[in-house]
Amino acid sequence: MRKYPTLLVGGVLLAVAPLTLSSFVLSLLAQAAVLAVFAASYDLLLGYTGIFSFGHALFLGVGAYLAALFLLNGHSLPLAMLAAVSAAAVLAVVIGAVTLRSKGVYYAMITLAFAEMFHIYAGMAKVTGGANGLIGIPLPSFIAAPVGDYYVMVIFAVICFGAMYFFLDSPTGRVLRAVRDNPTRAAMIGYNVPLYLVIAQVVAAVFAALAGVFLALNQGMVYTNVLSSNTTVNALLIVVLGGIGTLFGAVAGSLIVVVAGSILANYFPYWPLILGALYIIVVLLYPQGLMQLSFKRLGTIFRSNPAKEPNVSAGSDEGSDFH
Amino acid sequence: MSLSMFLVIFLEGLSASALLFLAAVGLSIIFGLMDILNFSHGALFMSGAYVAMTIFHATGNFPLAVLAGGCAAALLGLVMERLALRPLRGRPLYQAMVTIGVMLFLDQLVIEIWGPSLISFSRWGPLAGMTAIMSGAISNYRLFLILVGLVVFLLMAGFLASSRWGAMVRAGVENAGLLEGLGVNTGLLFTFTFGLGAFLAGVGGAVYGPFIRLVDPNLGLSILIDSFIVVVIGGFGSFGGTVLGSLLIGMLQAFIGYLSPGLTVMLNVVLMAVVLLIKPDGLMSVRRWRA
Amino acid sequence: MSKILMVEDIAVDIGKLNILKGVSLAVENGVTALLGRNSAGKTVTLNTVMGYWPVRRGRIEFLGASLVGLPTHRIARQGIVYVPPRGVFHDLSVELNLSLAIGSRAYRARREYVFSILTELKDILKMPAGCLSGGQQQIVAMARALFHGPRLLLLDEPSRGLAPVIIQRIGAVIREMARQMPILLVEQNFTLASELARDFYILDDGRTVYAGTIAELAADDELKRRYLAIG
Ligand SMILES: Nc1ncnc2c1ncn2[C@@H]1O[C@H](COP(=O)(O)OP(=O)(O)O)[C@@H](O)[C@H]1O
Ligand SMILES: [Mg+2]
Repeated sequence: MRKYPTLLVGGVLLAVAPLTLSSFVLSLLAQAAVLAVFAASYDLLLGYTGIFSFGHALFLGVGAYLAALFLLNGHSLPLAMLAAVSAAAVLAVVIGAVTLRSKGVYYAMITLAFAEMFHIYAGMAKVTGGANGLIGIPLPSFIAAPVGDYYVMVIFAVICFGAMYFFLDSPTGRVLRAVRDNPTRAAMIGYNVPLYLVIAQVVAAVFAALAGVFLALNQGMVYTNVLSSNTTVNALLIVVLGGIGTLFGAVAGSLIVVVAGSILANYFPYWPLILGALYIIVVLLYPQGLMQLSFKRLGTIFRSNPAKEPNVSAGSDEGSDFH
Repeated sequence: MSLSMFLVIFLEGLSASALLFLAAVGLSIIFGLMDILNFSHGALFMSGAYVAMTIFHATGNFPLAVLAGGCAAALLGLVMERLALRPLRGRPLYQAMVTIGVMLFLDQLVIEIWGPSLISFSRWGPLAGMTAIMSGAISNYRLFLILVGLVVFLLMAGFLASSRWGAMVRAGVENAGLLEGLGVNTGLLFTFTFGLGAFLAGVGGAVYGPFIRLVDPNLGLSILIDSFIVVVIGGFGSFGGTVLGSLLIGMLQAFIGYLSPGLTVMLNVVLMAVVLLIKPDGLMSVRRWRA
Repeated sequence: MSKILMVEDIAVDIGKLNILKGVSLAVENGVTALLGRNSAGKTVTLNTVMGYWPVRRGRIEFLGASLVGLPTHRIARQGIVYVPPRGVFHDLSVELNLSLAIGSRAYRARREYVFSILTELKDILKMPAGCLSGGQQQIVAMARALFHGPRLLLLDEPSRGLAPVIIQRIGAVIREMARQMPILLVEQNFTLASELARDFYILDDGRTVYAGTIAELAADDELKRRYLAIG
């Protein structure tokens, strides 16, 4: 097994990082760790189940707001996590039920609408602190310092990634991939496809909500922005840059978006514009993510016409509706 | 409710419906015909609004401004179709994902060019006043919106009914090679179709700006959500469904009364969820665009 | 010159693979058969004539003018129609399949004539082509070619996957069509091809390896065994 030495080296590097890095970089890394979990939970849907959601921020936001509310009201962190996870699971089941019988494309639009509804609600309601959000979350003392924050977030991320890895490796995870590759055949083999789609949504929602809880801890406050579609777009950006359907690619994507982003943004005034263009180029040329970067393919961008593939024989069986 | 009050509310609902229709029609056409879920639709709409605002403030000529808004969006759409969508033809998931990139890019571009804050977009003189209706009154601009909505509806309905264009695009999406082999320039066909959808988005944005009397960089997203709700309720792939969805939401908004914008979104989302639970593919779902 | 289509020593690459290595053929009036085993390169040859694949080498001339480098729709507009096996648009009705690319006026003008040959069309006009049987789809695809009235028809395996009775009907239709237009016919069904064609070419592994008249080929068991796996 060559995996273990790599894991060991990675673990040691993560553990000793605080000795050498500034607290600014550490706080960025902590944030990147949380976002990587959120993005990976999005990848469970997009990359492993073939579900295209545009409202994943909803679950991150629900987790963050509930954590903030519970902690502000003097409850313990485990109770806050339990509340966040249960609420996210219930919401995922409800949305799953509404969309279950609809065509796949509807999913992106419906989830966007739901998330936006909560986004607007959070900006108006008293309980969520309206547009000001919830601030001054009482944090456990070990998180207050940057180094403690870093360790907590990294350990949280390592545990979540481990759990997601084992979930995807489990029989259920394999069925999800079968559903992604060919829902019709998966149904024919006898799998209850709608059930598995809802399972994927619930699992993804739960991890997103956990990421929300830790985001609230990391930031010490929650603000309506966690619920906005920008948050979902960020997850999509991270997943696409890191490689769709490569779970751990989310780590690389998250480092690019958070760490490189906040450093490069100081040098490039047009960084968001550049990021948008970079995303487009990656979708076009490196659908496997930036890890697959090869300069030969970069050359194809300048070739006028990609070879057209005639598919003139009788219409293909593959439906054009994605789900 | 008196008759004149009913009439005024009815016309307000109709103008709201016209706006929703103008916002959603381009999205509906592009998806219904080309299978492309265009997330940049709202950004194209917003670009139309900003360009129209700029032209209107520079020249004072509103018809020219609307045309310019439509053309600017169409141009963006054409470039986008050629560079980003064509290479991904036949892969709708990736096409949808790339339109999200275009959305990010355009949203940011608008901020770079016009800044992050609101800019006022005043109404053109001839459309600025009010018209009396019995004992009530309605703004001329709302009547103008009804007119624009009606004109676009009639033009599109006539075009769809009288030409084989819709069928041709459907055929091209199913099997571009076969259609090309029958002498049809499918590349041009797709570019034109996408450009038309983008043009309609731009025109929608150009007439929307003066209605709310301003443009702001968040316009794109809110329009995208409204359009999504309209087409989901109406049934994707159905022109009639888009009309029905617009009327339903527009009228509901007018008759339920002056809700805060936030409550309106919630109402729409709940309505959408109810419709989907009863009819999973929308009210007038057809398997394919009827042409 | 009686040559309608001239293909001279073309080479075609798909991706990194060298698929056609040297295909030559000429089409004159009547039916010309293009034969060869599965994967010999017959479909790719037809596709290349239509401009779907670029040629690396060689000449393609239609009525004396080169087709090389032209986009597919321009080639089609010169009067070449390509009919893939059961090549119909599944989402569209039969009627739209037939009228789609020629316009409704030309459609009405030729309707009577086409329906007199293909009487079975009348009952299925309003049905979506995706709901038809394979034989019906093949009939619709060939009817579309009749509506287009091409100067050259490229017909790819019209009998593929069809029952013997239906193949007979398809054969009769092709014979009728051959009176209107020259046909380059790709067939795996040697019996059908030998009933219809006068000249033939055999492809093997991307090369033209044999040409002659069908009568000669029918008598040459060795040739049939080697390249067509028959007998
Ligand atoms: N689109 C394609 N991409 C890659 N290889 C192809 C493609 N089309 C055909 N080929 C290859 O070209 C060879 C010839 O195929 P074809 O012309 O379809 O054979 P046939 O003579 O049976 O019609 C085959 O080996 C096939 O695998
Ligand atoms: Mg073949």
